[in-house]
Amino acid sequence: MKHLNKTSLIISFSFLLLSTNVLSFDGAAGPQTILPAPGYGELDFEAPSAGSYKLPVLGYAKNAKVIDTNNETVSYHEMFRGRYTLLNFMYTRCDDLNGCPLTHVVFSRIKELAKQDPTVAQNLQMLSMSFDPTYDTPEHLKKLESGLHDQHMDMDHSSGHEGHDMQHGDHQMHHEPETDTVDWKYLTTHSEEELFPILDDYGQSVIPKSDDASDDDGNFSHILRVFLIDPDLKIRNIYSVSFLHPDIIINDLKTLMMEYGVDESNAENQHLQNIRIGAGDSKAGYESKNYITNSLSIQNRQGKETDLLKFVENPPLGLPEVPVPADNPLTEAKIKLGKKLFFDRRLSLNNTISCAICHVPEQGFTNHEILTAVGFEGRSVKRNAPTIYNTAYFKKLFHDGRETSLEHQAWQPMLARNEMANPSFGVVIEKLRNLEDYVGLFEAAFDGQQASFETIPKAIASYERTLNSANSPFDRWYYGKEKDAMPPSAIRGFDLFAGKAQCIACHSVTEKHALFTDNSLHNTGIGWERAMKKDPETQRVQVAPGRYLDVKNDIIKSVGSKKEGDLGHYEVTQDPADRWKYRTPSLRNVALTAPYMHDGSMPNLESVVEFYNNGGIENETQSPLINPLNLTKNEMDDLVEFLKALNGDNVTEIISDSFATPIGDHSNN
Amino acid sequence: MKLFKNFKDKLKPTLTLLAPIAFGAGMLMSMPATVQADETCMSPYMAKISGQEDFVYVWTLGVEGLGDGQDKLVTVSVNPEAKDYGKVRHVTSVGGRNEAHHSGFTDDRKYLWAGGLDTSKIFIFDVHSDPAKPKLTKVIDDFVSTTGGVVGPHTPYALPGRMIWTALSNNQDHGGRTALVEYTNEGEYVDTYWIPTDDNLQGAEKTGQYADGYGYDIQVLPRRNMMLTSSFTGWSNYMMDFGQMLQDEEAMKRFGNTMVVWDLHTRQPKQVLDVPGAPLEIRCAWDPEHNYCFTTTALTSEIWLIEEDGKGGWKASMVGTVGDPADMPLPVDFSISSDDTMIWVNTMTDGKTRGYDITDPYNPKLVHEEYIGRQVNMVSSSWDNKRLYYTTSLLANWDKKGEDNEQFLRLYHWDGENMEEQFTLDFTKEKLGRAHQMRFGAYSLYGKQAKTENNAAENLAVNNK
Repeated sequence: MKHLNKTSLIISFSFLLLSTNVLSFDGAAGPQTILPAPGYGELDFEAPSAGSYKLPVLGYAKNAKVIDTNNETVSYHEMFRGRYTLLNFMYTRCDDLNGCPLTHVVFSRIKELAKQDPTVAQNLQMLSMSFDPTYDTPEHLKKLESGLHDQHMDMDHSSGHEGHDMQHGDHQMHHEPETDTVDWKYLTTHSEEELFPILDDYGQSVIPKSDDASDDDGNFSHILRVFLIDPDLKIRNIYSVSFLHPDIIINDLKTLMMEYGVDESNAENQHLQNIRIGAGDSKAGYESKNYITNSLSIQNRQGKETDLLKFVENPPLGLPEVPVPADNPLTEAKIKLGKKLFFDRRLSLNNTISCAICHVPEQGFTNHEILTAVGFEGRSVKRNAPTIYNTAYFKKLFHDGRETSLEHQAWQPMLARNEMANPSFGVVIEKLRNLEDYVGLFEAAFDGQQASFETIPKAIASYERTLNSANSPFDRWYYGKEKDAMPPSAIRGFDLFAGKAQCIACHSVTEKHALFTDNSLHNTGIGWERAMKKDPETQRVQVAPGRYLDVKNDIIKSVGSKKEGDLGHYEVTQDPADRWKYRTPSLRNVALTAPYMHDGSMPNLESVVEFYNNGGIENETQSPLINPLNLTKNEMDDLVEFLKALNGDNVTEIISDSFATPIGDHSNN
Repeated sequence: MKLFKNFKDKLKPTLTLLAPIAFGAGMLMSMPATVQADETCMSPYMAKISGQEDFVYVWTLGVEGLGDGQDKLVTVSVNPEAKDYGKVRHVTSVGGRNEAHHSGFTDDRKYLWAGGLDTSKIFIFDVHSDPAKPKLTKVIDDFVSTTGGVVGPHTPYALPGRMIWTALSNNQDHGGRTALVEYTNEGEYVDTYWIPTDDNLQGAEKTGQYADGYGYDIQVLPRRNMMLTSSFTGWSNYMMDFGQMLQDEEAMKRFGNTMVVWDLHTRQPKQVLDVPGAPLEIRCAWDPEHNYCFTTTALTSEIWLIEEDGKGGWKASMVGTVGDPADMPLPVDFSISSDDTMIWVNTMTDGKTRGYDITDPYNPKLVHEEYIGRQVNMVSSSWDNKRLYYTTSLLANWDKKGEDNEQFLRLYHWDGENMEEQFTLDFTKEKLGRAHQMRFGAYSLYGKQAKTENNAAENLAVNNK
């Protein structure tokens, strides 16, 4: 083994802001003869190659509430889930050469090596948990943490294999963006009372040293243990002094990633490439006996957080400036809090339904799997879950247009008896005030204000307001003047859209931007037919791929509850002229938001175009704008091609961001 | 019933020590021919009752506006010698409507675990301290977060020292992709095993067209190191109004079409078999030489046989239909007799139970058909196949509506040719709720006798020796 000389070690450690006696090997407590561990240099043996061995599960990484350097409460499980984690327990006053400083050097070396290895950088995080809350306060640790980011590691950029000692003199700065480096965070607790159960859970024996020779009462005896934790919260290795080495750890990490099917190739864009737009449980082709599944695993549904504010500050091409209410300006903290709420199943009375359960991100923020939504205890919601994309621009919300702002809208599903079923505002407010993982979040986002009647919907609205999606092939062709951005069939389709088919009469397109909605309400006939048509004697029911039964209506009735009536905008105005009027939806991302219409009754865009070609369904209050179109089959195909050219270019990024958001579930830990 | 004398002799000292509790699998076959009473669908690792069962524990769904409106474990006295025969002995309400569904004992039969498909809570009852009064001792309410997002614990199944749960859904899209979850008998989480999907078959062979990742029931054949799971549907469907769902074209695409063969020891999936139409309950044969299991498909009304393929793997084939599949009879629970000669299949839509002779497993023959009620779901058979208990609820929002929504526990005696009703306990009149799954309890399991105290209710119990 090639050991490093003492001088270079001290220099390398200088950024730690440790007190000078930490690395003083001639101090009273410093053992002069101790040999630096392998982690400081090369291994005596070659680390087993990644994938050539298995790492058995050594236990379950228990949850804990700790605080980060911003003094915010975070939970282990929220941090661990979906990532590979190295967790060590340390204290910054540690002066044991082969204790905390060793871990620090090994972590630093891994961080350096990962700069050349994006697979590692994107999948690994390192957490240093202090067991000295008295001294290692968030403020103190924050200095260290910012030191990690600001300090340009002046260690050898190669691994120890080449045998280079760590040098201080090489000031080649590497200003890689943060995404290319491993996250390394410091954590601590408020008190020993909070700390001790965590130490017990991780078998960390920490005993304060009572060394009379030293005046320092800040030393602890402890055994070095570093934990490798997989994305499913399982401990997969525990490193002690002899095995704490970057080569071993990185190969262990890669071994685990192979087990999880993480492909090393092209890791930079991997989180985007792995995202499928559409249901992970695809049923495309289920109508046929030849259907073949194309299912994705739940555990690989992982993503990467993105800066959503940019979709507001610089709306994608084709969208106007985003209207933001004066009393709810957008901030990153608010958006993040709103996103956390959006994905939190605890927002329902019995902890089962979040906003995202009906507005599923990869399913166009609607739900491909059911025509009309299902709420609390399975209660029926009479309409299809509308998409959240571009709702920042809508002047009327809900299919019947009954709400006027995202802030107002957010409370309704939380309180609706057939959605999230909370019995009162107060119940939701109190619940959030008492959830540990929300401690301080509202206060930070709302200038000291707690979770309240006002702040809860403001946070949710702030997240929703960022989900602006455009710069579609159409936008690049129409507004960006890129000739080839949209295929000829779609261009022909747009001509029909704006001409013969007159779709543009309601789905507005203006000179500078297009919302594809007139923010108004119309009766197409679908609502009328649903309310007025007579029941058929039998209904066709699919029972397996390519297999259908004509089931007697009596049987269906015997197991079905009476349907709730649906009169559309009439329910808001009580004006008979408004019967069966529903809001004009935007057509942006429309190819991603099946099934269609307010009741989800149309499975695909082809059936929608055909419906309008037939002039909708005639009835007393049908919109005069809807008439038979006499489109040919080719023209209808072109229209569909145009509609498919309206997908925004940031959809994958938004989905990935949502996948990176932990789902809030009830937890005992 | 076959007797395996040599085996029995070998185990004699152990059996003597363990009497009066008998153990499952091959050992059970070698027990003296005393009357055995218990469901025949339970884990072979399970301790069994010798003698008449004293209680049926009915895991019951609370109904809004009926009684206390919450889920409950209803203990019904079923020993004919008890004065309260056929009556409710005890009720333990658990709080909330959780979509109470299935329950199962730990292998030592000391605890009954009962799951809620909606809230994903697991309720653990002590049934050994006083079999007449199960006591709620623990509630696992962090199932979803602990398991990494599994929703809807469905069937608890006893493995040695462990409980393995199937589940139905997940917390990401409330669809059907899901996992198996293992706990220790003490209620400590052990592991999550996701059902194979196309992108992550986990080494399993996709033998046909489907690998949907769905779950439902579980059975094991320890002698073949085989564990078998079936597939149903996710939260959005099992919680939805049934009539609404039948008319929802998208929802009807979200049903399981697979069964998965697992290595029991390593819990690794080996094969994904195509069994279209929502294969639900699995019943494996008991005879050590009968290495096969049955399932019925809910939507397509078929009986399927899962057997070894002679090439080291397993295969599934359709061997019969139930009722007229065109009328969607909806086969739900079924039971297999301990001598592998009969299965009893319940159909929800027509409220019937049908007995099939499965002596030839490739050709089930309908030998009896009986109307039980306007709707019927679960059936539990005594070990000797002489007592058949029926309950009525399938899922809160799938049960029939209005007058057709009968809710009861009903016992029949079966003499090999005819069924004779013994008692009916009306769960609506008693203000209890929807009667779902049944498990049997007995004093003899724990070397106890019925208490005879001054308390009138307790006086009703008798010594079953």
